[in-house]
Formats: sequence, C-alpha cells, structure tokens
Amino acid sequence: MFDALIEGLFLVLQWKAFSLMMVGMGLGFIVGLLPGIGGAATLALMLPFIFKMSPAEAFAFLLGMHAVAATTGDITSILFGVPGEAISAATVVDGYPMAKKGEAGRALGAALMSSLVGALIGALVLALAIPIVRPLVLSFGSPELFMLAMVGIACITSLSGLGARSQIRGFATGFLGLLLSTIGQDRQSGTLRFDMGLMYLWDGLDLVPVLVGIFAIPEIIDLAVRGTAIAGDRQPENLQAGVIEGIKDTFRHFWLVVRCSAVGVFIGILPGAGGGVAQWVAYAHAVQSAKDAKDRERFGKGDVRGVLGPGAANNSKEGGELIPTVAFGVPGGGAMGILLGGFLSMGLTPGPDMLTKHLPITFSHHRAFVSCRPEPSGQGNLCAGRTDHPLCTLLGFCGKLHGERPNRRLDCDLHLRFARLSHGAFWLAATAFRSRLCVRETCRDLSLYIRKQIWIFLAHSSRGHRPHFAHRVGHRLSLYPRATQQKAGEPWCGLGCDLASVFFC
Amino acid sequence: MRFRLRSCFSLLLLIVAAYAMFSARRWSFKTSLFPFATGIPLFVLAGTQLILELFGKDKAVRGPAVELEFSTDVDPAVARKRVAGILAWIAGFILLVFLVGFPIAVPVFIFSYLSLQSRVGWWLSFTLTAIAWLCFYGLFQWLLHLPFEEGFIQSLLGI
Repeated sequence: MFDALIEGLFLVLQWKAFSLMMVGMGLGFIVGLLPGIGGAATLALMLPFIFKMSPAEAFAFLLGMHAVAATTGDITSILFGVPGEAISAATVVDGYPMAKKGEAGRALGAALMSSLVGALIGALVLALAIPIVRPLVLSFGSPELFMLAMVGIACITSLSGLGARSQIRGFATGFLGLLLSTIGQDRQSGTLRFDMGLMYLWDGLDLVPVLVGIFAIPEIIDLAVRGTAIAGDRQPENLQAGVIEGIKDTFRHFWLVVRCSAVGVFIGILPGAGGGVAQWVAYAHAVQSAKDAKDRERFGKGDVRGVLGPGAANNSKEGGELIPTVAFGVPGGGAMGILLGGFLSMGLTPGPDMLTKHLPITFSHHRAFVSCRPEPSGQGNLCAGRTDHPLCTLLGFCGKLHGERPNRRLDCDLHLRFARLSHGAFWLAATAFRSRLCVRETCRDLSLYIRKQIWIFLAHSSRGHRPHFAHRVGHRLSLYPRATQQKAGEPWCGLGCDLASVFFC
Repeated sequence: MRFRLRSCFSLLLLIVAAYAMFSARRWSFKTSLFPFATGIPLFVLAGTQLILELFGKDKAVRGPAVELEFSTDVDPAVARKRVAGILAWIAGFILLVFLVGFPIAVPVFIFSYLSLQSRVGWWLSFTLTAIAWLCFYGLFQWLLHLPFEEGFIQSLLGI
C-alpha cells in the first residue's frame, strides 16, 4: 500500500500530469469566481478533453479543476457577497461583513488556510477510510438520507435564534425550502409540479440564481444605499498582514477547523447529501460552538469562525465524496458522477479493482486533490449487452440516422443533425434501468439511475421553429452547437441530457 | 390581537403551504407524496407561528438570529431615494435583457451604468465595457458555445 502511495505521488508529479493539473487549477479558478458556472458543469465540459490523456493525467486535470473551483467560490463570497458556487453560500454570512469591516485579507487568509487544512483531512480520511466506510455507505437508503436532511434543517434552524418561537420559524423556513425543491418535473412519474405553465420551471429552481437573489441583490442595494466602497471609509488594511492574520486564525481555532472538516468528510461520504449541506451544517456547528449568547452575537457580523467552519468543510467533503466514488462506484455528488463517467471512459471500473489493481491511480487522485487544493466509449459498445432499454433504443435510433450519413462525424457533444422528422420534443422520465456498459474490453452490468429526464429533440428547423428547448427548460449543458448556426430548413436530431444527473449506481 | 408587519411572512408561508397541498391533491400518490410531506408540516408550523404572533405575548429573545446586517446610518429619505434608483437600474437591466437579449444587454448596461450612474469618464467606461464584453463573449459564446435567448425585438423583426 505504501508503495502504491509513493507511486501515486510520482504519477502526479510527472511533468505532463503536473502541468495538466496546473491548467485544471487555472480553469477551476476562473470557474469558481464566476457565479453561474458550477464546477460540475465544467467537469462535464472538460470530459471530451481527457480521452487522449493517461488516467493519472486525466484525473490530475479534473480533480485539480474541481477542488480549486470549490475553494475560489469563497473569494467572491467574501469580497462581494456573491457566492461563486452554490456550495460557497455559507461563507457570505460572516465573510462579507468582514470585508465591510476592512478585514477582507484576513477573511481570505482564513478561508484559504482552513480549506487547505480541510483538504488535507479529507485526503487523509480518503486514504484511510475506504475499508471502514463500505457498510456505512451501503446501508444508506432513502429513509436515512431523509433523516440526514432533517438533521441539516435542524442545524440550520439553530441559526434562526434561540427559543421556541425562533425554532418554529426556522423549521417553517426549512420546510419552505424543501417545498420549493419540489418545483419542476417529478423524477419518478414525469408529472410537472408547480410549473405555473412556465417551461423554465420544468427543471426546478436553479440554486445559483436563487442564492444570488437572496444574498447578492440585497447587498448590492445596501451598497447603493451607503454610497461608499464595500469597506466604507475605513483605511485599507495591509493585505499581507491581514492574510497572515487569517492563517493564524486557522490555528487559533484549530479544533473548530478539524471538527468542521470532519463534518464535511462525513457528509461528503454520504451519496446525495451535497456540498451545500456540508457548508451550512459546518457553519451551524461553528455558531453552536459559541461560548454564550454574547459570543454568539458576533456571528453574522464578521466573526472569523464563521469563515473557518464553512471553508474547512468545503474542501474536506471533496475527499469524502471520492471515497464511495472510487471504492464502490457510487458517486457522492453530481461532480463525482461526472468523474465516474471519466473513470469508465478511461477503462477503469470503480470498485474493488481501484483498491487493488489500480491502487496507484487511486492514490494519484488523492495526491491531485491535496496538491491543489484514447478512445471514447463508442455508442455501439454501450448497448453491447442489452438493447431493450430506453437509452439504447434512443442511441440505436440516432446511430441509425448517423449511419445514413456516414460522411458526418458523431460530435463529441452527442449532437446529431441528420434526421428528417417532424418538429417536437419528448423526454424519457427519470428512471432506473439496467444496462451492460462496455468500455474497451471491460464490461460491466450497471444500474443506471437518471436523476433528471433526458430530452430528445426531433426537429425540422426553420426560422419559426428554432430548437431552443434545452435552454428554456433549464440551463442544462448545451449539447449541440448554437441554434443560430443551424441553417434554416436543415433537419436535425438532438439528444440533450444533464450530464451531471446521470448516475451510475 | 395585534397584526404586525412580520406576521405577513407567516401568512405568506401559510398561503404557500395551502396552495401546494391544494395543487397536489390532483396528482398521483408518488408525485404528491413529497409536496404533502413538506406542505403539511409547513402549514402547521406557519399556522402556529401566526397564532403566536397575533395572540401570544411578546417574549424576550434568548439568543439572536444569525442574519445579514444592513446599513442603518443613512438618512431614511436618502436611503429610499437610493433604493428606488438601484431598483430602477436592476429592473432596467432585466427589461433590456428581455428586449435585446443578453449579449447586447450586457455591454449596453455596463456602459450606461458606468457613464451615467457612476460618472466614470467616457474612455474608461468604454474600455471597461469592452473588457467585460470580451470576457462575456469569449467565455460563453466563443469558448463554451452557450447560446443565449434572442431578445423580443430580434424575434419580432426576425433578425
């Protein structure tokens, strides 16, 4: 095992893997700063680029990008009060008030250092915990996840103040959040709920616009009311001294950072819980660790502990999420689901093999994760085992159309433009079905769970019938070129699916 | 009974929960299960909260809520004027996006805001707008190929 650990380290330190990791980190930095483009979406966009890389290079690139995106989301949360990522929202509560007090450097230092400590703890747990967590992960079903959601709401409720009335208000708001999450298509039956006749709501409420509405718009208005810079008329702090002070804060409250990292790891291990839950539970824990009511009053007004807790959980949960992904092929979250797709396309089957035959590759992930904080699968192979389930029927259908025009290559973004069919759209309801997935020579029976619907567009495009469904429906990835490039009258068949939503169980 | 402004929020939650359950009654069991599972507790909690606010005695809060803090040191009349101004800009931006689409609305808005509201010089406004537009176009249109909806005016004119 130790040999594999060293081998994994050297795999990542090879110049090509290391350079690709740096490129990934650069991309992740930009993505993390921009609200609206999530780390998971970027991972999906970057998947086609990994096919010619070796597994160690590919995962250094992808994990470097993903880990940095999670961290840099905190930067905009602190500086502007706008969460760069959905999982950076909790940092706004105390990070932005610190910036308003002229302590932006201190807040940034604290967030980045606690993220590093969280990442180290997450990676350590990743390296040690794989044999231990198997029964835990496999015993978690819907009831357990529901109870975890209730625990999360209970933790967040504690932020609404002490006393019975505050608790009632907090729980009511928590249930309102759960109710709002039911907007959109029911994933089992396909029935539309609370869509108000708007196609935009078919895919539910996207978290980033909601967070921007809750956090950023009030802050923008407040900034306009004050009519000053974010830090007001205060003397600008010495940035370097502030950052060093933030780093020192991490070690002043080291056990809080460790506890919040543990919260992040635990929630990361559980499939489906998500990074937002980890950050808020960690923030609630930081608030609950206040000594008394007076100490508690400091939270929300720029207390550094309110930055340290979420910052630590933000990165430690990445290590936690990798555990079930690597060991059991059960992704801990949407981004890990995409990473799992990357595993399969590299010919690596997640599961026991990753802990025996491919152990150096597994350790290279953990190294890539700590450091930063070729051939694609053919569609024919996908359906090698069975052809009677909806996805294979669909791929067979589109493949047939593709075969009729062999001079047109299959775009890597799954776009096909060869059909002369009537205009329309339909979708496969979110469902689970079994498939035999073959990548190169490795075949495996898989249960495919599609968390959201797959859309199928059949169109005979013309000026009046432009296929804009995917973008109206809900910001899913564009899997075909711009509609404006579509020549009028050119028929096409498009397959649109949210890559982040396709889970291999 | 004392009806205060904060009771409006509880009333709103009550209405939302009632509407959710009313809509869910038509759906199949599986579809309506989650709206009912969350709507019923929300209805009960919001109702309890509303009753306590209307008829209960005011109790001293034992611990404050953790929430965002906003400025209180600006004269209310000035604050109202500034809020109206910034809301008008936000509404104008949304209207602009609807009318001409995102790719045109972004540079127009940035240039207008910088030159008219922030009183930045023309050349600086132009330069910053160009940089913002290049980043915007380069990332979304050129690199990611993420098309935006065309505006109402373009649809109307068939451009």
